[in-house]
Amino acid sequence: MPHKLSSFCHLVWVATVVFSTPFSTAEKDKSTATKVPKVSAPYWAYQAPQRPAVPKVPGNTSANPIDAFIAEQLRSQSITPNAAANPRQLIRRLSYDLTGLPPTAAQYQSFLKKTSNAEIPAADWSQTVSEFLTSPHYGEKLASLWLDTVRYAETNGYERDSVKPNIWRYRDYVIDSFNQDLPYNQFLTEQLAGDEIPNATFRSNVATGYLALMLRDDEPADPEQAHADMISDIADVTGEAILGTTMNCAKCHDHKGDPILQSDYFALRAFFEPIKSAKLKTSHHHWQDPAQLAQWKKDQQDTQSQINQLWSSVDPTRLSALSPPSSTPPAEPVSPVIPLSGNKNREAWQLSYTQPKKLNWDLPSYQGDAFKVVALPMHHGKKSAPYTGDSTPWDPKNNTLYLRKDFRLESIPDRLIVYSIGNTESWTVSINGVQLYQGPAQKAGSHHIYPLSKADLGNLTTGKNTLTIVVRSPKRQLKHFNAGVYQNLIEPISPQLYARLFPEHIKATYGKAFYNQYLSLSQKFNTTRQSLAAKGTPYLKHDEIKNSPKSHIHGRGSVHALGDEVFPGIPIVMATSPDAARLAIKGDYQKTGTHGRRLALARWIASQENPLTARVMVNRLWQHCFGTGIVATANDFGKFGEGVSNQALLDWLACEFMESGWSIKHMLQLMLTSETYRRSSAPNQATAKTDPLNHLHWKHSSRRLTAEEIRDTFLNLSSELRLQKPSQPYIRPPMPAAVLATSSKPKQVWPATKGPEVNCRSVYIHVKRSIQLPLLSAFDAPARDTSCPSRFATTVPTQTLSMLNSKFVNDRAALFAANLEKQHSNDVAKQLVSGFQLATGRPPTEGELSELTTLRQDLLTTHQLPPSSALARICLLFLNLNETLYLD
Amino acid sequence: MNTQHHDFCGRTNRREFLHNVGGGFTKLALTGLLAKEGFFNEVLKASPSTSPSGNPLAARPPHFAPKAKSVIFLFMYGGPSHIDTFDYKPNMIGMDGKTIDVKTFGRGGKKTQGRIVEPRWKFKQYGQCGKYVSDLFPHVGECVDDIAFIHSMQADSPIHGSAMLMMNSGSIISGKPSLGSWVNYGLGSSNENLPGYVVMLDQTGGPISGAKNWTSGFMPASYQGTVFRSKGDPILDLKHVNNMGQDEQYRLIKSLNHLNTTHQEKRWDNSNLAARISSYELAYKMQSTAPEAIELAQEPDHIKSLYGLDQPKTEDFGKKCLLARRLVERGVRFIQLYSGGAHNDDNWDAHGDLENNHNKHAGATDKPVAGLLKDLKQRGLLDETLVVWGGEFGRQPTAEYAKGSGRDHNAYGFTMWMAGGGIKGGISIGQTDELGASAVERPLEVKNLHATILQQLGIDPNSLSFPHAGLDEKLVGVEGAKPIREIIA
Repeated sequence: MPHKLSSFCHLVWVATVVFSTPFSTAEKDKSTATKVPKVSAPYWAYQAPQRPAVPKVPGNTSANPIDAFIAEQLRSQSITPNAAANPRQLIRRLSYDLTGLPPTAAQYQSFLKKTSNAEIPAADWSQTVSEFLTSPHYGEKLASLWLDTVRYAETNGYERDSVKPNIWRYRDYVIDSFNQDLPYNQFLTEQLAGDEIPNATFRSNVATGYLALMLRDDEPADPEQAHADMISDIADVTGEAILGTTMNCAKCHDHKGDPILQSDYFALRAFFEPIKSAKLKTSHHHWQDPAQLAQWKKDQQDTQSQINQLWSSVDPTRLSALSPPSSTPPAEPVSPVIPLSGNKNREAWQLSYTQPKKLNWDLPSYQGDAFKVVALPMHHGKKSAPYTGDSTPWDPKNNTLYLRKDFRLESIPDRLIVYSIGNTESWTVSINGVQLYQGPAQKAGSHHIYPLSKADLGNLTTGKNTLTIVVRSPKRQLKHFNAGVYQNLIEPISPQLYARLFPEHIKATYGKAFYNQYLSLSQKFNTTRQSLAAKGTPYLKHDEIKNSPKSHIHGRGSVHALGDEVFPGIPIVMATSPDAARLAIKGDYQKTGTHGRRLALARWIASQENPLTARVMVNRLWQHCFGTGIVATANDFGKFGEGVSNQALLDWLACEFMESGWSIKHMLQLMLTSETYRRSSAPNQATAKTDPLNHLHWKHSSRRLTAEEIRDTFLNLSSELRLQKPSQPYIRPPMPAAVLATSSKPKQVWPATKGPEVNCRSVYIHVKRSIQLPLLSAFDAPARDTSCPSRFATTVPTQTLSMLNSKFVNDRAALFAANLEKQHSNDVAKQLVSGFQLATGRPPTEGELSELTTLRQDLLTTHQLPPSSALARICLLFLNLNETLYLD
Repeated sequence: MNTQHHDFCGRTNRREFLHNVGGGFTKLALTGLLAKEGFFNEVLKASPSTSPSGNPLAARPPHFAPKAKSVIFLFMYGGPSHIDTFDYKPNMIGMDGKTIDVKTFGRGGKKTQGRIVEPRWKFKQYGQCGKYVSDLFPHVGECVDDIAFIHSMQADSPIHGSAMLMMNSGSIISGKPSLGSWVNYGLGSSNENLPGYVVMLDQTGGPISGAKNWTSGFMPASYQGTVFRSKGDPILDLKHVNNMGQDEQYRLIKSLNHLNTTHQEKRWDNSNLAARISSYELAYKMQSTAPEAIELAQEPDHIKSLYGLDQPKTEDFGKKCLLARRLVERGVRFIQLYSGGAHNDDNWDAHGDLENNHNKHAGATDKPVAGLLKDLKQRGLLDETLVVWGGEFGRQPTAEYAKGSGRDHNAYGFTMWMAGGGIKGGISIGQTDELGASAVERPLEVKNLHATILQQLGIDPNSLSFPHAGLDEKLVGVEGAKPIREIIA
């Protein structure tokens, strides 16, 4: 039964025809037929952009070509555009657009100095734009444009929502790439095929994190379909983010709006088909930066030599006084309290395989009969224990031994060490009924060892003592066990271990300062050792399965209904000919562990011949600067999209972009220095009727700060914002308990970051798909499950509640107030003026100041607030001002 | 105006949106969208304090006369066993422990054979319709003449994470808006002082995937569910963190409004600024409306005991059911209550000891659910309130392990029921096989259930769409779905 098409079937404009090969007209074979979409007229988006002449528009005096294109359209509608915005508005607009932060006081000052008479000299403005473009915070701001588009998140979603290990490196890659102004064609090539390019680097491998950003159900009902969906997801996001083409509907049938066939979709998807499921999981990959690796190794060596130096400074012979001179274990160089048993010294111990019922079994007074007397060593299995001879077998069914032995002391020694040898995974050591240690048995040399601490020694008494040991060894085979007690070390151990085992002795011998110095070095050593031990492949390699899989059309998107075979290819309509759609693929699996398919795709995508790549990106940049794209649907340049509002401008920009060497900074510089960008956002009664939604750019469209900008701004106003990148992969600011309670694992879901790094910029907040900071979600930070081409800016009462009542906002307001008070103590007017100006970027008018002063008076008198609390309330008001949250 | 290209907050394709829809929907779409797009600027300019505000949650007219004004979705998270509750399988009696060939698919994978675990509770007939209900639900049993049972539900996944998404958003793929968001988007809220879409969670925690279950997906965040608590502050940040007094807050908002209004006068073309100004009024009102809504002290004792508030085991869910009624009375459009949270036996996921698990969860919900139905009915509210009961899937007829009565998940066939809101009472449709392993008669998909819910609310399920990534996304999928006609009165 043909399915009922969704409501847009009447928009169909594409007729599909089947061309059969000339010689097989009689028996038309579906698989050899080339299906080609027939386009009624060439669609602009699939024709490579040609650089149009810059129009000469009477009255346009701007040297910036953008202004000429805009002026042409404005003139055709007889619209007079707005004049330039005032300098304060401008610098604030620019600063947020390029760094996501308000201008600093110094930036305001230096900029306003240049613009004494409201008119900003072009050279000065251009200089200012350049300065902001070189800020390290530029990359942090622009990254969010890309991260939204490629649906960047750090977890997989679904039931466990587990972390994608190391994926944060991809985020840093994106930030760095913007900061370095990495050419956009290279940026794309690295993301699609950074492992396949010649001279692949760690960085270019990290870029392929792009391929692993999707949702991933770790317990799918249909694993095959789930894997297929993940591969499709890469094709989808590549279509939307890079080619501005929505592919979703071509998954099930030929596209209803655009000349994209179902076979086109699966041909594009085939470029990604060989990617291993493990790559998508990313958990088996431990991306390690070779530079970091080398650094760690060096650190470790350095620390080791420092430690050696330290030791030799106090004890050139390396503990010779402490350790026995000879090294062979059986020599028993020191007289034992209880010897390790061997041929000569058969030592009788009391043994039970079950826990003795009598309570005082581990006391010297014990007279019970639960124990049998045995000779150590005990062994079971083929392998014999050291010091073997006659021995008692270890009951193979029992994992636990209860041993006790009485011994006599003439005097209390200053040191006593319990040794065991054999399968001692964990043990409990007690003296005279007092448990001294329970836990894993620590190995020192060939023995397990428990040195009694000073406190432990206090349990000894002259005369009869009892040592009890409970040994646990869950291993089934090859068990053996032997135990003894000595006053001294019976084999040499490293100084480090010695220091760990006998800290008191070291302190007494070499002094506390030495010990502390040693301790910090040894901690450093351990940290680097742990970092190095977190092993894995230093590079992402071999991410594709060895035998290239065949690709097929999936009937209605189902992997279980395979249709015709397809080959890696680009949508035919975007190719110069149907034959050219099949890209030449040259790969060397031996070399890269991949087949080279993605590199072939990347070469086409990043080439000047591609009709969409440059257009789509300049359009995103335009949207970033002007609010709405020249194609308003940034992910959809097709027929279902909004269409292009000024194709000449778009094409001119696309060509300029490519010819500039795909420089994003160049394009931003161009856009931001235009008169169009600098226009005031003030309304105009007459023009509002002709072009209410400002499609023609007669004014600047004002915008609300983004969720991240709001958080960063508030932290900035409270002087808490930490502008450095965090030292940890990402941060987790505190989540309100009420939000944690919505998780199925409230205690584990969001361990909050401690310390000052909690106030790092929002771009570094952990992006977890199942839980989001309420402030971010209230202000429309996208969920990042799917590509987000532009954000909503919604207003609802619950959002306002968090702005008035939440701990985060009120804490920032209180600190903001405290800072103002400190800075302008005893000058209330200055506190109010300065607070208002910090929040909005301008001093308050007289009317506004008097509103604030009256408010303060009322808070002090009617509401009986102390002055500092009143100021905190007023700062809360500052944070809530529309002028704080919106850019003109 | 149709020559203009209008943006929904700068993103979606208006032309296509209007193009697609028939007359009724155009009305719905236009009224809502114009408000959002600044066409009421002139109105706002004339009287900035009134609020056709650009509030995206303002009420919108339905496509056609609705049968139901509100929905209460009682979500039995974890998957209640249908054959132990409402799907009577007399032929299984005496078969306990027998190994039989039956195809099952659960978290333990696909199996072709299993050991029967006979239903562990006795069934008896209730009501005029004589519906068999197990001893787990004696109180709900008394309401069967108001209930339509759907015994042939099927879902795409027998795994909690994806199945939860399916039941809540119509797709096992994450990222789609939930049912309540679609309702919120389609109809708005009739009470601006309360959220239009409320979710109440179990005291043990949220379901797996947490907020994904009430997300607005690719729609604006304003349509997402608001978590409502029965204890303390019902809504996040409803109260000031340091208890700022109401008068003081009012004073602050007054100054804020003055400053914001001065700011807006010079920017009268930006309706978002006006919307933010009026949102303070709405937020202020919500602070008194929401706590009043959860003020159960006003309820007489006989009502409290009707919902089981006087017994420890039913108190918690009873409270939520009573709250649900109070929210319905206050115009909240969509309310979802979770029975069960977190993991394992904290919800209906009876893998280990079936008896313990289901006695606990049915014991906690039977009286409250019945109380809700009876109370709605006696107030004449059941006619306009659609109550939906069920989980993300059912459970298998066979044992999961060699020992014990635990059942694995079953998405091949399970039971859900609906009551009120123009749904026929005392009927049962669809059937599973003799064991309840799989739906065999009139198999129904989740989208049919969703279509029925939208239909009863006066929304054409096949017209309510939101453009996203080149598709006209619908709750019921791009191919659409038919409502379940047999149960519609």
